[in-house]
Amino acid sequence: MKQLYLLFPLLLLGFFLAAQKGIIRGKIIDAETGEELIGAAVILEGTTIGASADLDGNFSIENIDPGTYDVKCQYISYETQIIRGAEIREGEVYILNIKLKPVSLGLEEVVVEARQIRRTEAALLTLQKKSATVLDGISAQQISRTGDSDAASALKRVTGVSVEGGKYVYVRGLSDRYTMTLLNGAELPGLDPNRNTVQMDLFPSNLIENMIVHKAFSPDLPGSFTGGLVDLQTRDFPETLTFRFSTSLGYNDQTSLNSSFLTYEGGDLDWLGVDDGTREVPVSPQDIPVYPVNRDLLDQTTMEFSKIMAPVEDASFLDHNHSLSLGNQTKLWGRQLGYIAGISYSRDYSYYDDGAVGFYRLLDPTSEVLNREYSYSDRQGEMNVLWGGMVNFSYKISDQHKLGINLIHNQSGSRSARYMTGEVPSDGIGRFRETRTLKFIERSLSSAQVRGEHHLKEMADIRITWLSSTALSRQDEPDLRFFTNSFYPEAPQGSRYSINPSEYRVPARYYRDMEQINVDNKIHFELPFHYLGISSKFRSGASWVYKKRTFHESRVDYLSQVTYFNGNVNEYLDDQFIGQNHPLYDPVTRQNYGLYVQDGSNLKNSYSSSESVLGLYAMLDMPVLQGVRITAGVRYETTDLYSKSENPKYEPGELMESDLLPSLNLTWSLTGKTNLRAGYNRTLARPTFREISPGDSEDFQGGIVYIGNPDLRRTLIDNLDIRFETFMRSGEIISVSGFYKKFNDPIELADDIRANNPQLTWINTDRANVFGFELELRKQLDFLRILRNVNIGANAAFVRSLVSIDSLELILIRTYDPDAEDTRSMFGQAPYIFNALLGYVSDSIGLDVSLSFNITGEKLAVVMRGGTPDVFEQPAGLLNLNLSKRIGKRISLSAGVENILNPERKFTYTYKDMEYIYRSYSTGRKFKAGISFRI
Amino acid sequence: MKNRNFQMMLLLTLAVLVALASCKKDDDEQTETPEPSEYTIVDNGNGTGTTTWKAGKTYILEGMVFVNDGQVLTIEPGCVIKGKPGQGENASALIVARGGMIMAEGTAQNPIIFTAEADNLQGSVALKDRGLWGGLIILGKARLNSTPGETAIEGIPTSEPRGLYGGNDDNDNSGVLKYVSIRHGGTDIGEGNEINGLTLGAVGSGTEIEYIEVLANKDDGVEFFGGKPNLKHVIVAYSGDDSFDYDEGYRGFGQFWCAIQDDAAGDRVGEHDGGTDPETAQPYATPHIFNATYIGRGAGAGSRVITFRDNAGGHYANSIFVNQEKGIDIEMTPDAENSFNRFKTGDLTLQNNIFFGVADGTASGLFKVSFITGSSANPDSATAVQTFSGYFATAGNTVEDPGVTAANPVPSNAGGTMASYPDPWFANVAYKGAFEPGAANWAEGWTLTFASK
Repeated sequence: MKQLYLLFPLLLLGFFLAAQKGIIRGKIIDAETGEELIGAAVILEGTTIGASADLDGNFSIENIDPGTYDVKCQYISYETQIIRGAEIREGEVYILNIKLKPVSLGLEEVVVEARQIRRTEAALLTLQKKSATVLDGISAQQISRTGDSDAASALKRVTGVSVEGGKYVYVRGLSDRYTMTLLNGAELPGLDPNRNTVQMDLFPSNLIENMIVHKAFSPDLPGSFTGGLVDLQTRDFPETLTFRFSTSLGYNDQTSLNSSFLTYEGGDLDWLGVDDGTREVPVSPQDIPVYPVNRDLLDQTTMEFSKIMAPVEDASFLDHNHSLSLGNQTKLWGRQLGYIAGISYSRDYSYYDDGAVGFYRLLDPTSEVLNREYSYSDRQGEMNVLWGGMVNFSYKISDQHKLGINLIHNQSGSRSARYMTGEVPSDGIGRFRETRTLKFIERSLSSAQVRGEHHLKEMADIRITWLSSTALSRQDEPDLRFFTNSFYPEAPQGSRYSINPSEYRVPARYYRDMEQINVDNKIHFELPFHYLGISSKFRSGASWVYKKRTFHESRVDYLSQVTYFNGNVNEYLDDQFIGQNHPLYDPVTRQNYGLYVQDGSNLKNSYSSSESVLGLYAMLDMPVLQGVRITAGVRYETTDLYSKSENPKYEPGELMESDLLPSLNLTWSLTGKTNLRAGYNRTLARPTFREISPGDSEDFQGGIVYIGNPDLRRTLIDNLDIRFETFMRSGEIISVSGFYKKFNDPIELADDIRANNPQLTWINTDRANVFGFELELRKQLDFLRILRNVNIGANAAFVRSLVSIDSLELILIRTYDPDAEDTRSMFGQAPYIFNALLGYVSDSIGLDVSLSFNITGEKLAVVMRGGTPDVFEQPAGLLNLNLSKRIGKRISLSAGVENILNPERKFTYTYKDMEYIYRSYSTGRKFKAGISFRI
Repeated sequence: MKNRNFQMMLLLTLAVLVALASCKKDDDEQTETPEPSEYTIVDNGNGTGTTTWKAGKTYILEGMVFVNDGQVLTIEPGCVIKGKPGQGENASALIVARGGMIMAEGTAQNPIIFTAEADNLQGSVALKDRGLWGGLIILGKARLNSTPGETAIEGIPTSEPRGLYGGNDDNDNSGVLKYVSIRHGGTDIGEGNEINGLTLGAVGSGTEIEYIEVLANKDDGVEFFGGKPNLKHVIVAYSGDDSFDYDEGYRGFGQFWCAIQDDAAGDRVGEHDGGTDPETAQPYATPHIFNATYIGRGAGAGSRVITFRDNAGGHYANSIFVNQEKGIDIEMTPDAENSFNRFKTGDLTLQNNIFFGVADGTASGLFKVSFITGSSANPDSATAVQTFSGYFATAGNTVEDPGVTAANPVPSNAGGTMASYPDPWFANVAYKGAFEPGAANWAEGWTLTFASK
């Protein structure tokens, strides 16, 4: 990180050395296909100054004397365009994006006014339009309007995208298993050992240029996505100097400044998302003496552990968020160097005290109600810190060669404290339980990328792009603490509070850490040629992705030969109740030895894994008929996955496979603005390291155990897509898509009903089918004068999935209901996802207001055993209002309200029209205000 | 972690050397190495093999050791088996898999002892120390009432086929356990599961189990999962949880069962469940337990004598229940089938038992109905309390002092009207409880609970 700070003065220097004369910069593209026109010429009329567009279609004319110019743009077989009235001022960059039309009807030259085309082009829609496959996305421009602070919250604005837990992206209702995340085209490691993808909340939105969600495969993309591939693109060549500092404060009406906020004493660096060593294990668990061998040493060892295992109340501060970014382009050795750097820090709090947690079972097929096994009230306080820095350099060696470097470091930390209590009738009527959880997770991601683009004009016009990226990610969960006890409110003190290990886990501290390295190397070749007189392309390339992970878990358990205590957790852990110090301990009979620690680690839960995926592809992108473009090709991927438990008794998971993934996509341009697309693609999904490793992990609730399966196979998926889209004007779109996906050997969780307690294992089930359709509309309402500054956007996705239920599980389900279906919906798949945005933008008064709404239909959250109905997450509408007002040229103020409706978040069982709560809580409304300064 | 691996390697090497040495003995009489007195047993998937564990020797269980299908483990009287400490995957236990047999026939003079590695049998471990190793698990092929009629024993993942139990042979024979004392076990094997002192999973009636002591186990003393094993002369002392527990449709016979609870630990003396998923599955749990003596923790400790729930049936007769805060409760649910209905149909009977120092000593305090959520929907709910408490007297149960204490469970007075024995397997005795009034205590001498004669 230190290096990153050193870069800043350097960048600032570049900023002060900026030219004193004027500059014109922009991009030249084909007005119909959106393709960049490499080599198109731009000349200032009446001068000899000019430039030609580089391999991105970008041009830059510098050292222009201030004044008003006419700009002439020419390219072979395109109409020449003259743009009148470009006002060049000293020290400013004039941005001019030009669209040229192919020559038709002998019209040779068109004249437009500069101010007409100065409005920023909705570049993303152009990208969508010119793409050979189905994709959607969101641009920096849109993100700044919705006010979303990180990539995760911005992504949920995209058609068919939903975000689980504020982190994990689901595309078309398919879980993160079928979603993939790239950073500038390179694969990123996921940080959660149980997940397949990156937590998207790691990326502050001010560093993002746009996020593209590919929904259909094409051979140049990795084969392991089915729902969507999210490509996060960082800013590249800023057209002009950009400097932005912004800061904001947020007030959550149920969290901020609340004196009953739950927390615990952590380390001094928690505010940086880093544990300062406070939570480190004081004694290596394997060195803890085994009871009752050396009681004196055991007493001492037990005393070395922290006494903090219960939450405390302490008011939380306001949420705050600061970011600084800087970018420009300058000359280095006479060539253009673009740079962007940014740092950001945010800290926010969440708290609820209205939570409920319940566990219900159907005891008997004839029953009218579900039986309550337990129900708790739930309080939780959480602090989240996220900061990061990024530097990106792009260097144009010539108009035909470009190099880029990107460095990123992100750090996040989350500290939470939770307290649940309630009756547990299944233990005994009138018996209660209390559970306390103290948690701290820190995650970091460091990535370095080098990339290049080469346009070899002399060698058949070949275009080569390549990328080499190394990313290191870590997740540490030091000293995760659980403390559960039972109590009988009616019992006399002395036998009121006890710890019953046969009903729940004894108090324990977990220490987990994970490290993963991802190496991604890719090269793409693009060879243009002409077919039927129309430009076509042959593309091929290769990629090699290597991942290596180690995950380690150890656990320390608290045991005691004394069953009862006085209910005070702090005293329970106090030295005076440890081992031989316990007041009931009898040194003669050695009866009633008090509290002591023991190693509870299970070696099998720790694992190390590696995966190597080699990809090769070839594809053609060419017209077959007038207006019909075909992209066809095949990708070949080999998988070599290996995951081994630290306990050698367990067989390692191994997967060796080679797959051919054919792809055929058709685009029929009905008019210049309307496309009809159709495609067939085959993709695959691999098990995660966690899934193929034999270890166990537990659910926080319900005693569910998850066990890995070393015999997992990969899934092959056949995808069919169809889409109709029409691009009306800049920034406007209407699209309708339909899709069907057939899964062969899908990986799903299944309960092994032979286990005593729910034991979920990942298995390859028979089959799964997913189908659905999506709608999107973005429109300016300026056809009515009064609404000329108003725009609307809405998108919706409707999805249905069917997965076959494991045959053993089905036997048990059918003992309750002989007619029960043999399929269920996929885990986490929502039947609908709906987004809407209403915006008002007035450039004249510098006001931008937007109201956005997001809702996701009920999703399968937990599969219950036997006849007990499954748990679904209920829809909760999220309504946000954002407002920003420019004051002068440099300053803008912003204000907003998040989660205006503040609905209850609910996970429920439904049985005979009755709703039972599995979990519920609310998050509160957040009011924000901020200021930003820019140059 | 490396240390542990290293230790294991060392032990294995030692074992190999020992094996080599003993092979050599046959060939070469001159180089006689003295036989070790301790053997460490590690299971690499092959089980113990058909073998004999010798009298006077100590066998140390490292991890879970199975007697595989087709293998017979014979344990000689006086043999000591010790379990290494460790939890979860490191828990030590002896597991007799389906089709395997254990022939552990101790004697009153030379019982077979299962205990913790740290126990030198001379008091290095406190009498009531619990959870220092796993336990003894016997798995058979008798019937269960769970679906699909085959279950994995708690704490062992289903991927280990030797951990599965259940089948169709109620007469299945897993061998003999006689004069066996199981001490200080019950370590945690995962997610709120501990090993019981003696676990009997779908054990068949062909198995002989008699004169068993389970002392200071952290979880239950003896737990039955379905099956039909018959047990005589069992003493469970100072259990951390329940003394006797059954689930998944246990249908065997029991006579002369004695439970003594620690006054500072333990849940119910008897925790009796019918089925799990669904709870109303058949065959119903209907064991016959005669001549039990259950000694509880006393007033103020909050524990209960027996709970019948989840559609459990069962028959207790000619038994003695003393010194407990709460009596016997049976569960009622909103559904047609539940433990209260088992009582109504005669699958649950409590006849001619003596109570003393239990609850408030009234019929309604001793025999209770526990209503779970929504029970009021059950048509029986209005009269259930009266019906069940009225049954106390009609079934010949009495409240009187049999003169039984934890220190001396032999009653001074335990006569009265007797319920008749349902099967010739039962000894036809004319007293109530596990001990004959005025006679010697059968547990004395070979147990640790009553160590001195």
